[in-house]
Amino acid sequence: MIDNDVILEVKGLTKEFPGVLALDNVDYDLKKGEIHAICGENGAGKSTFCNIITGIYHQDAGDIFLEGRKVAFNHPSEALKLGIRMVYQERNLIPYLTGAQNILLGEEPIKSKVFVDEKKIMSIAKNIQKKYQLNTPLDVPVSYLSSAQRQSIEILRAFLYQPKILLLDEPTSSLTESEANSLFSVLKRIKEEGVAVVLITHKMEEVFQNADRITIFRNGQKIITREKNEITENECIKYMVNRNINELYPKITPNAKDILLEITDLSDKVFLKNINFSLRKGEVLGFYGLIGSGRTETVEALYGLREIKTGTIHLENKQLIPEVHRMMDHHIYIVPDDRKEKGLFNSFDIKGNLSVSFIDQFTRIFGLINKRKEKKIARKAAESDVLRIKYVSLDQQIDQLSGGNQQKVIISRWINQEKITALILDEPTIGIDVGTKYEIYKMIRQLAEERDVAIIFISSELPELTGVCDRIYVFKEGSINGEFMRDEFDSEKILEYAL
Amino acid sequence: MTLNKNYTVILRRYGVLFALAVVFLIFSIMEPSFYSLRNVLSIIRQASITGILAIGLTTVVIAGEFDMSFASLAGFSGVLSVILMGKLMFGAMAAWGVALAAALGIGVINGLIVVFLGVPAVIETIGMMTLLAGVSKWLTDGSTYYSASFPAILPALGRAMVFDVIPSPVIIFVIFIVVFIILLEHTKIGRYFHAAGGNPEASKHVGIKVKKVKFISFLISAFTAGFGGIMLGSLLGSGTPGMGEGYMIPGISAMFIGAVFLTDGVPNIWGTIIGALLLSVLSNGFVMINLPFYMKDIVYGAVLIGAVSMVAIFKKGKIPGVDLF
Repeated sequence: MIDNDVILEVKGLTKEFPGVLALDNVDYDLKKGEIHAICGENGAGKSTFCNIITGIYHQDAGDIFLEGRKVAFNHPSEALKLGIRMVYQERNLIPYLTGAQNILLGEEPIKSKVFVDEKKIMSIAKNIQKKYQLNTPLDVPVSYLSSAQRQSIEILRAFLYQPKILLLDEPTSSLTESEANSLFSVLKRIKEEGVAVVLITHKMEEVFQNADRITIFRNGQKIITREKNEITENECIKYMVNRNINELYPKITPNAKDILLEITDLSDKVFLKNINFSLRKGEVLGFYGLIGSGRTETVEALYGLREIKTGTIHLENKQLIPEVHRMMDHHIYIVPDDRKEKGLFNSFDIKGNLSVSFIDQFTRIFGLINKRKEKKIARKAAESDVLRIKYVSLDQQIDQLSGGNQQKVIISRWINQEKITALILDEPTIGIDVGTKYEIYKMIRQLAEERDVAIIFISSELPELTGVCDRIYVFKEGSINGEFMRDEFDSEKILEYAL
Repeated sequence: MTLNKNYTVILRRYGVLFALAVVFLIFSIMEPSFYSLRNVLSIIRQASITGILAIGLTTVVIAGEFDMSFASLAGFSGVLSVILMGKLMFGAMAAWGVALAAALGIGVINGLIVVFLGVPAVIETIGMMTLLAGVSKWLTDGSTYYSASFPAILPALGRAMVFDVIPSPVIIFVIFIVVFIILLEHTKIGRYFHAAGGNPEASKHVGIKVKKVKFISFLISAFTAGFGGIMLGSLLGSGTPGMGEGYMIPGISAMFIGAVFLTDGVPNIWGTIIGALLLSVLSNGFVMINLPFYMKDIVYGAVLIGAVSMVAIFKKGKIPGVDLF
């Protein structure tokens, strides 16, 4: 009986990359009509696992059984043919094609043997959309859509052929709460139809609200698989990080002092409207809001990375022109939201990625670089007690580090500066494992409380803001819609202001 | 297993050097005079102008832009320098100085239009390449310009011999190599070229003035083109329209051949130098073993295609500058 339910079974799956055992003898089974969550820290092997199941990588050892038959994929298309479908990140869409054209990409209906039947494309796409109730415009080029809408298109694309197995890797990372909810109601519906869903996510609430079973990976090994009601959230985290995390957030000793930055009437040319706010020394100020609500745009405008129309910025009562180098001259630093696009230098090693912000400290006459000093400075930053980076050698390429350690590298560029007056952190914990998240929270509080640093902490995850911040501004449609002091923090109310 | 992997890495990183050695060996076996000191110096001399031009191009590409006009600019600067000496009776130093300044002026225009107006570099510099080719024809009336009143010092940069054995371009080439290795690998601006080309967004976020950095890279490419040009005028002892254009394909090829040396598809100075030497060994060897005249083009074209294919295979992420096509 039970055996009939198992659609996918994996035995002894092993995959080695140079220097890393990404998967170590993993057994796993997936049943028809279940949502099976896979949890684990970054580098635990979740993505490698998916890539093998979908035929992108080939395993070094181990077998995959689909409906009891042993299968081996040489190419992703073979897995697709057997009904194994993966929802990719939004970047896999063709920007100038419409939503409908993207959904049917490679499967276009043909009329008169030659021409693409655009009408039919639209009608098929509309049918799928109606069936799964993901409301996204289908007739405009996807480049005009928000990232959440693009993610919906990706998901609709996966539903085109009633997959038997659907794998989703962090599907809600760019979705708003309500969009995430509608995605999960879709997943529950297709589950009723017998589709097996593999859900990979860092968000524990999502797991416990939606999954039927939970499998935990750690260091390439499968630790356990449990029915959802046989395990608690805390146990899950314990298995993931292999240590007890007593608290999710560090202890808070408020330390807000005099006003450091005062922003008045800030507007940009597109959609920021009359932003007014202040930031105190030693204060952790949260910016909450949906993606696209103006949080990132506000700090970019403030930091000189976005053209402004109106607005003045005062730093301790002196007016400051918003330009990157002026901000840096005053020891105000920024950690951008998109690690890959705005943070990392892929052609540099770890050392170069760390030292780029310290370059004046090891530059001599004629702009000559002292490489020995550079290495010393980089090592000091990497091994600082505030945020310790796990690395083998400073000469390693940066892309060999896990996401969490890459983020630590970017943050370490600034927190090890001798002087730091303010630090802007834009989604610093996105796609990062629980253990590293805690280290970052601790680092934030430590900077504010011990060095009087003023901190702006932008996040889409409300719990981490209420857990770490002294005060929160709520953004909505390009302006600030509410302000909450720590003793007024009320998740439901804050959310109300954001929606 | 691990040993095998190491061999692949070594082969990949030093493959170009290996190829240079193999080609050199083959020619030496076929024609023993190939590896005489005289011929080796001659090979380096032949590589020097290509190498100097390609070093500048490499700098722009590292900074994330491209310059198609470098060879045409070299021709223009060479023509201008000999015209100034022959027609306007400039001294050699003054003529070279003016030609270099004019080249830098072209670099300023390229930089302003590409970096500050946001025009794709490849397109803008193709325009500049064509424009300068026209100016060179205009200056020379479309044929080789020669004058009996050229100053005696004219051959110093291209044809002179130092200590009776070392061709002067070899010495100049070595100076350029040293300066550019220091500039790109051991200075702040060099680091900024790599950063701006590698990830312009991240560069902005750490306070690098990306536009300024890219603008400077165009000035550097214009300078090396201008200098290569006056060397060319000195070598030929005349000014001919189109005399620079022949260096375009070798220059671009040397840069791409070099991009697979040591790195995974990122252009670099050492690689470019080895690339220039490889091309020079090939063309010198072809003459030595009497290959037909058309073989050089065929092989050069094949080498360029092979080099970019290697870059495409080994590259990690984007090739700086090249995604502009």
